Amino acid sequence: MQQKQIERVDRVGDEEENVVVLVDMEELNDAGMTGEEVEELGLDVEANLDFEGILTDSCGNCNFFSGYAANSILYNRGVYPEESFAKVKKYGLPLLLTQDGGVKAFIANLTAQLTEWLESGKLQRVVLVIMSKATSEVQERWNFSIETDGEVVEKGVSREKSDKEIMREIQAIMRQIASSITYLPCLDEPCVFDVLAYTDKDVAVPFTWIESDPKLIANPQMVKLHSFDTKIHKVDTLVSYKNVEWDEQ
Amino acid sequence: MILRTPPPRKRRADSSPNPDRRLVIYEDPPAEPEQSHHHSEQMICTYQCRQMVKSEFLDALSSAEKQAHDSESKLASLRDELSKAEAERKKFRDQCFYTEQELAAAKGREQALQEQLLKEVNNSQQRLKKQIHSYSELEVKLQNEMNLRKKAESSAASAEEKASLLEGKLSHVSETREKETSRLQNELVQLKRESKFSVTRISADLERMECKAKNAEEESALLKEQLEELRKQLNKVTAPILPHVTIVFDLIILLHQCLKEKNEAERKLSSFATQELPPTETNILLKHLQEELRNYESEVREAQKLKSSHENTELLKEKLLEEKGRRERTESELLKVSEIQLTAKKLEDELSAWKLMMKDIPGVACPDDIPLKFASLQKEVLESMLKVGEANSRLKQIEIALDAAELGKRNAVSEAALANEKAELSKLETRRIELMLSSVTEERDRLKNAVDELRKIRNVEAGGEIVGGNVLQELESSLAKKEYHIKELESNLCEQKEVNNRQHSERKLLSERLNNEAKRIKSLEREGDRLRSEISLLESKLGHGDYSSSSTKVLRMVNTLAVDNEAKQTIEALQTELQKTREKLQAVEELKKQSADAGTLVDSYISGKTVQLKEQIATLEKREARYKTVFADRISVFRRACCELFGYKIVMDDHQRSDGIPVTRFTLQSIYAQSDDEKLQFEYESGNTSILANDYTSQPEISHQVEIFIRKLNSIPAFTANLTVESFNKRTLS
Repeated sequence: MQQKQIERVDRVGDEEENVVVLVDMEELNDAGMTGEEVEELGLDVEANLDFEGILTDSCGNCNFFSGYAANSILYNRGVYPEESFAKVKKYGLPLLLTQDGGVKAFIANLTAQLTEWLESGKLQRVVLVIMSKATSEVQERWNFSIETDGEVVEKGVSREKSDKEIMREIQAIMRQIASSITYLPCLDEPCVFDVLAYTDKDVAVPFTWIESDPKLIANPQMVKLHSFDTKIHKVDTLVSYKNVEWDEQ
Repeated sequence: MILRTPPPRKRRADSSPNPDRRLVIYEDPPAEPEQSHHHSEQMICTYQCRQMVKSEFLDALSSAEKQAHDSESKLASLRDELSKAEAERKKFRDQCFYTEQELAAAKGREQALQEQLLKEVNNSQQRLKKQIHSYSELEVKLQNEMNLRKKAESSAASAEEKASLLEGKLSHVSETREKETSRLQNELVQLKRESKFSVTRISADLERMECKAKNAEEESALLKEQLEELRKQLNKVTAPILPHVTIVFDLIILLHQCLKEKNEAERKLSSFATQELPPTETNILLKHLQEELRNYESEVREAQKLKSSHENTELLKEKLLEEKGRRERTESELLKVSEIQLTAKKLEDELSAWKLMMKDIPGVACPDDIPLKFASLQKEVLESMLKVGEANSRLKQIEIALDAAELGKRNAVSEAALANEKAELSKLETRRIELMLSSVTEERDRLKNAVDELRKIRNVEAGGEIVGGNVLQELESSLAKKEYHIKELESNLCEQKEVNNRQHSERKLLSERLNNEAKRIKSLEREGDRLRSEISLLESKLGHGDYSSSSTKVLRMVNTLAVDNEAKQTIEALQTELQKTREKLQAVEELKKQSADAGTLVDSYISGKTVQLKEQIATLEKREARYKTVFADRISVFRRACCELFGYKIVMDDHQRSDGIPVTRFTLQSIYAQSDDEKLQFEYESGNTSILANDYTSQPEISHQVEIFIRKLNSIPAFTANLTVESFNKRTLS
């Protein structure tokens, strides 16, 4: 098995650690990446370096998917300008990641908390809400429903599924998100986004989080997208958007 | 076809009376030539036989007649059955028509109901949409108002901070002013010292000049003496002493020089003093000089002042422009303040309107309840949508029932067609049977006629026995045929009946099976529709984002990007304001450095402003205190008057209920009360007064009065008046 040794800097809290990761070249090639690309991308795109960890970690899959999916949605819906995104290769597809420090930090903090909830099996749904900046009216809701296998969480039973299959499913969803611009209405006014987490009632609310209303859309149009299943977590995707009147004539 | 002359038949051995009453034809043996001989004997012996035959024939006839009668009766019964079948067919037809009419009516009703339902559903949907839209607009407005309020509060806080900063700056400026004044005073002292020094210098110069003047005077005096001596010498020595001329000329030149010096000294003296004063008046001169010095100093100062004032005027002009700009800014800010006040008033009015609206909205007591109310309304909307879905499912069920009814109708129609066909078939058969019967009757008639003829023939000739025998044979054969036909008809009838019964039973089974299958299909379709509606509802709920609040909660991060952006913007705004204030401070300090007067002017302006503001505050505070005292006096007077007039001491308190609603509580104590426990408590909230239960009101007499006056008659004044009268009576009696 051909392996490549790559050094990276891991951030654990406030400390930084130098870590050496052995990456399987076959798996990299299956994912559509070469070792040179990995080295070129360097330390910023740490998700690409942590390839093995992602594929073996279902929570990581779900969370990194939601983080990348969120970035893809923000880019495709034009919430932030195109020039603020940088191209990376992930899940065998060219995806765009925001370079805005504030948004990056926001998504990073978000995914950290969501990972924690996922691991404990308390996370039921993640919703990305796109709202008008001026009126705070909700324009779109990207709904990621998560079904967790309770047996795995409680008893630690292992479930295996081919990484290629998971990758294919994620690729399908990412392609669908990219193609959603063909039927979703244009967002003509400046918009902002927010992320809601539907958790169990008994979850302790961290101090950086507060309870919120679900920010629903009245009379929405809904489009169901593909789902992906890691045998531990099943993620169903659905986008609901404001009903534009002239479309019904 | 019955043969009139049937062929002769042999006599059968078992011609004993047949159980089925068949006609047995007695045949004579084949005729022989000797038969004619025995013919007469036979004629004699066959008479009995003939009689027997006749009797038998008659019996057979009667039996045939009976059979014919039976067949007629059967015909009649068949006809009855036919008529019954026709009647049933008519009934079915009528039922079909009736069912068709009912179906049509039901269809019409269902269509009308559907249309009504659809209309109602559309109306309710439109209403719901409008309500949701209005609720969303109200939500948006509320949020905007909340944001505006927050902005106003933040701007007020920032204005307060600015005011505090300005006060700090004022204090700082006053301190600097004081420092400047002290510095200026020091400078003044220094200037005074310098002026003193200059005065001393000038006085010293004056003395020097005086000395010079003295010297010059002495020299001029000496020169005058010398001139006089010379003149005397000249007068004495008239002799032209040439060598002495040069000396004279030199002396003259010296004189001129002395005169020049004298003039210069005189000029100097005159420049320093207006007149030559005697040395005894040096002090006066000094004083004059000092005065002149002072005047010069004053002039210098005035010049300096003029210069500085000229500079100051330029500075003041600049400051004026700045102040004008500031004034315009303050005016604009005042306008803004006024606008902000107006907007604040509007916001307050809107808040009050919202609060009133909240009061109108049932189940809402505070703004926090509104999202809950919206959630409940949304739930209600969802429930109504569920009901709509159920109504749709019911509609579908009704449609299914309609389809089933149509199917049944079609089945009934097909059955009616089948019944018609069968009736036609049975008609045909009955006609056939009738025809056969008619033929049978015709045959019977013929037989009867034949029998009559036979009788006639018998009565007429015996020779007709052969013919009668033939006729008998023919009749017998025809009878047999008729019997055969009748038997065939009977067997056909039985078969048809059996077939009809079988078909009927099969039809029944099939229709039962059809009904069962149709019912199963309906139930399956209903289940399918229900499941589909459930799936669509669940999907809509999923997509809609609905959740169960008992098991799920929705969380979001506090430090959202918008908040961060807002914080950044506020930080940037504050930083720009800081820089501006720093620049202003620097400009003010520079101005102060340039001229003390400008600083004093600014300081005086600022101090004047602060003094004015403080005075205003003081007056407002005084006014407030005055109002408070006046109000306290008036309210105490009012309370005393109420007590005197109505007989109750009233104490007013503000309380808060357990649900957070502020209410006003009034405690009334009658002036005729015999103990301090005799107190009534009322609660007043938004125009409604209610009595509170306590130990005093739980007493039987008081509770009875409460029941009558408050609960039944709904009059608190009557209750209190009655209580007053009763307690007064008790007091007076006791």
